[in-house]
Amino acid sequence: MREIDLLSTQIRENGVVLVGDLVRDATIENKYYAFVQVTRRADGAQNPTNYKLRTISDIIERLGAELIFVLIEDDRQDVLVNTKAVLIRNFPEKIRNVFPTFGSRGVVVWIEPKGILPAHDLEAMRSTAEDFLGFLKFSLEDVHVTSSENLPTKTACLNAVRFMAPVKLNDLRVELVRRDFHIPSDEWLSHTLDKLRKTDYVVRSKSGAYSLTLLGLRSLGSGKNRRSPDVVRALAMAKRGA
Amino acid sequence: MQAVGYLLQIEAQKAHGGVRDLYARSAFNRYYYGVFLDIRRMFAGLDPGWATLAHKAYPEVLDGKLTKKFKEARRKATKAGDFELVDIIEAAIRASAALAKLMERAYGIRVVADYLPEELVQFSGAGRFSLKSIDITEAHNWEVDVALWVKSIQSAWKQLHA
Repeated sequence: MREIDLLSTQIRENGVVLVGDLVRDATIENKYYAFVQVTRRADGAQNPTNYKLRTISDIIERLGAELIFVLIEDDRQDVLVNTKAVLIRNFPEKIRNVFPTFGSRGVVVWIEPKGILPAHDLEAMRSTAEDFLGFLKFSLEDVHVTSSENLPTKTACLNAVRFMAPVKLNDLRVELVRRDFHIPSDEWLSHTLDKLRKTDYVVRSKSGAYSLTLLGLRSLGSGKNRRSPDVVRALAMAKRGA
Repeated sequence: MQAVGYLLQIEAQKAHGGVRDLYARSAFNRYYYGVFLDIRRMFAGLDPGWATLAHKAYPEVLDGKLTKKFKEARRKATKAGDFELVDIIEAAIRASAALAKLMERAYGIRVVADYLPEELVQFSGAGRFSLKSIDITEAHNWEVDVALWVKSIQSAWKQLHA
């Protein structure tokens, strides 16, 4: 019996329905792709379960081969398309786009909002998606919001302060914009730095320049590679002639 | 690549005879390469050393090295109380896993399209067709999913390394 038939038999004996024969990878020895027909039980659970597929992969691995499962669900695309349509139809003022995909435990929905999304709106969207998918016997794994604001986080601000310190607000804004972040206003940046100062991550000198505190430095950590922030800062200082 | 894939998809829907199968499997191939090149572009921006990786290494890096880096960064961000960054990193971790899974799926069907001519493309009504039960519409949509996940990964990377 050929190895490929042997492996196919092994998989089928475990109750898994294959779409045709296994496919041998053209470039990697002993690597196979199994296209598996997946169905949903009345409670929405996947059959065969991911646990079962993992167990089979482990058995095949012990036989000296690598197996990748490609799951096939006949109504897969329809579920995603309809989830997208339901959400856009229900929240036309708030959603720019929806990207539903299959995760490991159900459907994962990514939402691109038109503006900042309050928590209660997100909850309403989650509930709508959950109800709709439940009706189709699918489960909602999670809902995520894609960030289109591109604002620097606290860590990104601290990184920039470390690189430039001591740095005045205007120079920090220029540096953050150079790093491709959006800064809504000087007031926004000043407020952000004020929060960092009050929580002891930065200090502000009498001249209005910001530097990291020991807590700020420790929170960022360092590195022993070419990306080490200490090396990057030393090089930047040398460049500036400091 | 996406445009070429779509052109081949349209040609396959119009064509008759044996050439129809060839157009159709070539469409799958081009859609796969579209995915591959988009991820390669992303890799090159993250780490120049990842720009020349072989196809087979893509899921390994996404699920391995990249996820490990994000998890380490998540630990630091949690410790520093930067929960906004934690959210961005968690989205990037999920995006890396989803991208790895898509890459495996797309690569698997590309192997069938290129090396198993005996596996014929199945044509159904309304100009739709599938290979190994993977619909061409799904392959056509890979680009949108990839763009979303790439954006999520790049966004987290920028917060950490800009």
